[in-house]
Amino acid sequence: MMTDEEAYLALLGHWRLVSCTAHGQDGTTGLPVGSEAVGEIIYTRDGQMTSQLMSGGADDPGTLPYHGYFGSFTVDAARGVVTHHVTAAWDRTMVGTDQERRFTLDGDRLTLQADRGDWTAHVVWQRFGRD
Amino acid sequence: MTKDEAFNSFIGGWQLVSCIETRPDGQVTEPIGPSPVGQIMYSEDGHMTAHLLPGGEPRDPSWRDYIGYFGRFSVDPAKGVVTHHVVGASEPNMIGTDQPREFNFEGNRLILQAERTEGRARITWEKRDERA
Repeated sequence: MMTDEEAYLALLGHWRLVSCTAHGQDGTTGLPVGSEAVGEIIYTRDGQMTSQLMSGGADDPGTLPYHGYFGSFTVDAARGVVTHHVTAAWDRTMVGTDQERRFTLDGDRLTLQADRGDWTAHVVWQRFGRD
Repeated sequence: MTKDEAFNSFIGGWQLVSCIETRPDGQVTEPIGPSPVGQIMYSEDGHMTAHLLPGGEPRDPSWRDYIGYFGRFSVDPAKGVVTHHVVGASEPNMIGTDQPREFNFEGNRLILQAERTEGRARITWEKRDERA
């Protein structure tokens, strides 16, 4: 198992959005930011994070057009949780909150899962290559 | 500055200090209020991300609301211009646009200036201490 520091170091860097899907307890799935969303998340060495997601392509009804926030982050490797401590956010109800995400690292992929009551959001990120 | 020197000067995280706008009639305003909150980050791989919003409560209805955008950036040191090539943004009319900003470095501060129809915006950022 990773130590907190190993997990912290593994998260550092710049990730681009691959997919964002919603999974209901009843087996249904959905696309909360549409099928062509673009986005990125960055974790920096000084413990800061920033994330922005935007729905791309056609405006599917019910999708969120934009979602962005930034703040600091901490890692609990034993629980497999990264917590985003939100300083500021497009959605003002998130400001000052701690957003827990279960994380899984697999090669150059990072999956973050957020529990939302009777459904779970799965957000998959891929590490940016060096240009 | 060479292109590489200019590019490297941007790399890292900056926090918002102030945002003021000078209108064509000379009036100076604070379009996101007197205590704005924000962050801009430039990565070595040529990407940038920015968030700007009013801080404190209550908010004045005349202030601009949250502005967030991200994309790539390029630097022209001869012109003193950094251009943000916007991929995604909270404001749909910014998506896909090039946003040029005149830049100046003063100590640990970065000053970006932009001509807008509303006036000339001057945005001051301070480098975050990343040794923490």
